[in-house]
Amino acid sequence: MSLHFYLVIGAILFVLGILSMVTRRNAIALLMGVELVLNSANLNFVAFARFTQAKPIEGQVMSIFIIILAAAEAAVALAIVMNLYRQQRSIQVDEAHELQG
Amino acid sequence: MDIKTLLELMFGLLTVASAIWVAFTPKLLHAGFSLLFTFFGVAGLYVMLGADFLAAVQVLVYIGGILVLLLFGILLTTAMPTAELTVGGTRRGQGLALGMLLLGLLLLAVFRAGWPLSMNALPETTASDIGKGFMTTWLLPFEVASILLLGAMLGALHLARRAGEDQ
Repeated sequence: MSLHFYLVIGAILFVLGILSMVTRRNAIALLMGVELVLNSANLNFVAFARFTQAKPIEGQVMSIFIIILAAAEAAVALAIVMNLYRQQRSIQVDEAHELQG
Repeated sequence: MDIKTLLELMFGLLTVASAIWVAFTPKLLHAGFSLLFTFFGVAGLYVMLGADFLAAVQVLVYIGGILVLLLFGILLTTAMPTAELTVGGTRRGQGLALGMLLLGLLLLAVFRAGWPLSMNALPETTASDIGKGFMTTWLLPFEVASILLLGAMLGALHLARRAGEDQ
């Protein structure tokens, strides 16, 4: 399989992630969209590292750092979601308008 | 068609199909469990790209960590026995139009750009190279990442605890 196969899968994952971020109202479904986008970025990094001039390791190290960031992001975001649930009894993002100026 | 191509197609199909289910199913838990198959498919694609260590990290961190965290989050933020675990969707049509536009743009870029293709010789295993890289070339980002993880852990604990004290 060529580079294009992986890039197309990465593009589809990215678009699906953006789509769930745009259309979903539940905060956790929104987080799932973020994870899809990060996975598509990882896949592109590894595919480019494999099929172009770069050293194969460099793209993979970049992906590992992205996975680290994703783990940190998920933990903090879920803590915020829990906080929101305790305050509002709901995690629908369009109902959380207490901070609106 | 050799077995490698077949496996790549299979993992690609698994990834895309389950990601579509994640984005479109109305049931929140279904989306969560479908995400499991997406992460697994991506791990398979990593193996096909010769990134064995990264595939293991993907399974450990994404499936073992982030996905479990998300599922806990779903269950903890729902008034359990009565609530319907559904995902409200708004502006489906506009979102779908935006997505199609974005996908068209990305595919155009993928197929029109002249990528400097060349196949590198794959190393036998990648784990030792990555480990050496972390201790030499990428030492600073490695340490910064560890501080970031510590900060995120303390921050998450703090956020979750403060809310408990308020009640």
